[in-house]
Amino acid sequence: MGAEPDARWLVEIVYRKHGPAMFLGHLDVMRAFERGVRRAGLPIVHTEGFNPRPRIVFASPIGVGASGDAELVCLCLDRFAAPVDVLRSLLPRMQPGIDLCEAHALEGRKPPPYHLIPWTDWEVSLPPGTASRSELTERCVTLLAQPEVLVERERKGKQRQLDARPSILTLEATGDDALAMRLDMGAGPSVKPVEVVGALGLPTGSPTQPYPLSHRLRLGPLPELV
Amino acid sequence: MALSPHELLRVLKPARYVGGELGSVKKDHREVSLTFALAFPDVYEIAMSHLGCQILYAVLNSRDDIACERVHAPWPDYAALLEEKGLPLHSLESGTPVGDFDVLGFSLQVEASYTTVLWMLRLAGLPLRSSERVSGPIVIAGGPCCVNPEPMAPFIDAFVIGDGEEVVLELADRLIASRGEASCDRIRSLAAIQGVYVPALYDVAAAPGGWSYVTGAREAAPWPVRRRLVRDLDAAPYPLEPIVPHIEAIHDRATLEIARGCTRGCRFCQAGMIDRPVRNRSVGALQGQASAILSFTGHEELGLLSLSAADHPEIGPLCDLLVEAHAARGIDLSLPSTRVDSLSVGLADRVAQVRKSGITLAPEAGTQRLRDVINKQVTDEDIMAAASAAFDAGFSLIKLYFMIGLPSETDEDAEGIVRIIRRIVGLATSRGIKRGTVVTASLAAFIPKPHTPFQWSAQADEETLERRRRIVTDALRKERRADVSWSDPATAQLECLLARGGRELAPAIEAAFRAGAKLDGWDEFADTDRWIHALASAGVPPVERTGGLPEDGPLPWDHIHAGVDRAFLLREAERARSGELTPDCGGVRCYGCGAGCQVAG
Repeated sequence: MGAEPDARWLVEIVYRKHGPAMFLGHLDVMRAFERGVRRAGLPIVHTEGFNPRPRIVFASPIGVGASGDAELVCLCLDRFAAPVDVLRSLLPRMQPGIDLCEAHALEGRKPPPYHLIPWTDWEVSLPPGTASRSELTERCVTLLAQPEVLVERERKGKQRQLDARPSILTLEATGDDALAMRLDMGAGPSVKPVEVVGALGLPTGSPTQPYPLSHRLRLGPLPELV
Repeated sequence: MALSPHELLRVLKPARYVGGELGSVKKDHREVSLTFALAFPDVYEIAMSHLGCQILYAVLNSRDDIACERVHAPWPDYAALLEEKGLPLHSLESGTPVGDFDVLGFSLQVEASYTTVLWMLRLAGLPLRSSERVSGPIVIAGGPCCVNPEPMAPFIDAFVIGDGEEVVLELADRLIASRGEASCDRIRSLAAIQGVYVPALYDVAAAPGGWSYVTGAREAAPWPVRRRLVRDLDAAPYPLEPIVPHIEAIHDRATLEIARGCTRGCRFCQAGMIDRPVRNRSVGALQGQASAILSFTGHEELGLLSLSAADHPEIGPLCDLLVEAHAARGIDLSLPSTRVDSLSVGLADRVAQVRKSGITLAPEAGTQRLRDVINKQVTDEDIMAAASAAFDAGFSLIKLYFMIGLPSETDEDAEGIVRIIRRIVGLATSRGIKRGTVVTASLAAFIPKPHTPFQWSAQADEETLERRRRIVTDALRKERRADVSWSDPATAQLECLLARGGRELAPAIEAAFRAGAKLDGWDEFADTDRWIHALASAGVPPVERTGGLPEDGPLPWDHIHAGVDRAFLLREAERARSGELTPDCGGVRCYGCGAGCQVAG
């Protein structure tokens, strides 16, 4: 890891990740932004050290298969550039499926504390024919009534259990094979939508079974910093 | 997308199969006269690193009346998913089944991809053999393996010999003009294009020992088939808006092809024989291309591609100009190989502005005697001077390429490899590089290749390759600062056999495929036992195939003229035996190689 020099100017971009780009992992999205920034010739700050990288900071990145409507990324620039110009210069240079929606300047010289994002809103679409709306509603109600919802998680080769219940702020069926949920980002280890699907007793996908699709609608607002 | 996202997530790296990258081109098939599936018989990350495909993609798509789309070998998980859903192999751009294209063009870069070609044909739902296909796409192939097309001849309708961008539009035009005619007639008509070999128009006879040879051409088909050549690289098309892969490719960088061909004349090197004469791109053209490509792709690395980058007549000024123009933006230049001399090392140093890792040198053999035999004009002093310059310049790792099993090689030559590695390690220590690996050496098994002076040479048997390899690795077992890797002798034997075989090998390739062979270049799937059985079932005993071939006898590739005359190759084989060097003609002296450059007149 190189040292992280301060930026003189921060621009936050809201983007959609969808279509072919939903199959990109976070590293691929990072590389796409790095190339986009280089193509656009933006005055990006680089990390120091042996392997300098453009300083581009993502909020709670999503992985292969997940899409998002309002993902956040912060570009650390070393001089002023009007957000509208940043957006305009990047727009034609991003690959299809990473659509830039808006850009605005941020105060300060360090990227926002994205780890303090309070919650995230998700839609999950289950493979067609998995469960009707009423069945899903029933399962959601049952789950929400439980004081504890244990999910299995593998870490360093060891299975361990964690209680997902505190992280599930809301959970409801929105249609056949369709769920919506708000997940708390602050209550211990963050729970993934697919883990909630598993906790509902529904299939979570495998090499022989289709996967649920997670779509992030929005990230909750950062708390006002003192 | 042929499959729903729910299903696609079942496979590894689904981004391999969805298309839609920056630089990819999607056209309405109803508005074009020809659809062309450009097929690469390996997975996405490898296919997307191949410059030739990017060039052909750009050339074909530059025409409004042609739609060129990509299709790659899937990983077996995706193939299984397609089969489960009853779906055929499809293109990336529009998801069109491969069988619905007018042309299916394979790039044959390595022999290990032959079974993958058959696999892709099957996944596309097409019959494997040309003679069994009455409809569907016309199946063509190009690339370096086509200089001996015979082992794949029954599966491919027409081969393109030489530089593909020179001929692909002529081929497309002829197929547009012959639309509506019977498939076999359309294929035959391709033989009128220089550089195109249509196997159906040639007679084949079996010879003792199970080999078969092409004996003559029918219907005025050419003999020999002469390769096509791009004469002027500056005038040749080059992709300035290449496809930027979704996921990290093997070569994840922008590429500048600074030259094509090499006349240094290493006697084992097929590329150095079939890609003559040397054609350089001008500095002016390269500067413009570099700026255009980088501003399109946004890559952080610019690779200069050629068989011997340091041989470009203006390499110094070119590197300086490129560094000046792009290094400030954090873009690194890379040279794939470094000539074994201090001058070239200096060049590598100059371009490595941003990140400095290792430097690659290829002495190829361990003693002066053997380097003279293979015409590698490098001395021990050159090697040490290059290593010394590399350490001085701040490189801390030297990668060395050697071959083992070269013609006339003895154990003494393997010991020479040890001596070179030890000297470089000693040099590093004396230069104060106290820790870590300073040398990695790879030992590749020599493979006699068609159209080289060593095409008649025997390949060392497994036992010999193993012994020579052990001489090196045993001697260096306790040398912690040098890592040695080597290629598998059985795989090398298979490559030799496929490279030099005739049409009689086709049943063996098919048998291996039917026994499950595919993606043979991947360690996960390589299975030499399966191949040995397949070869035996087709009556091809492997051992007899890797021996020496008579210099006065026929060869399975006699009907292909890949740029060098047989007489020149024979003279070079003779000079190899007497250890005589043939210096680089440099485009000024002429050895009568047959490549037909301006010097030869």
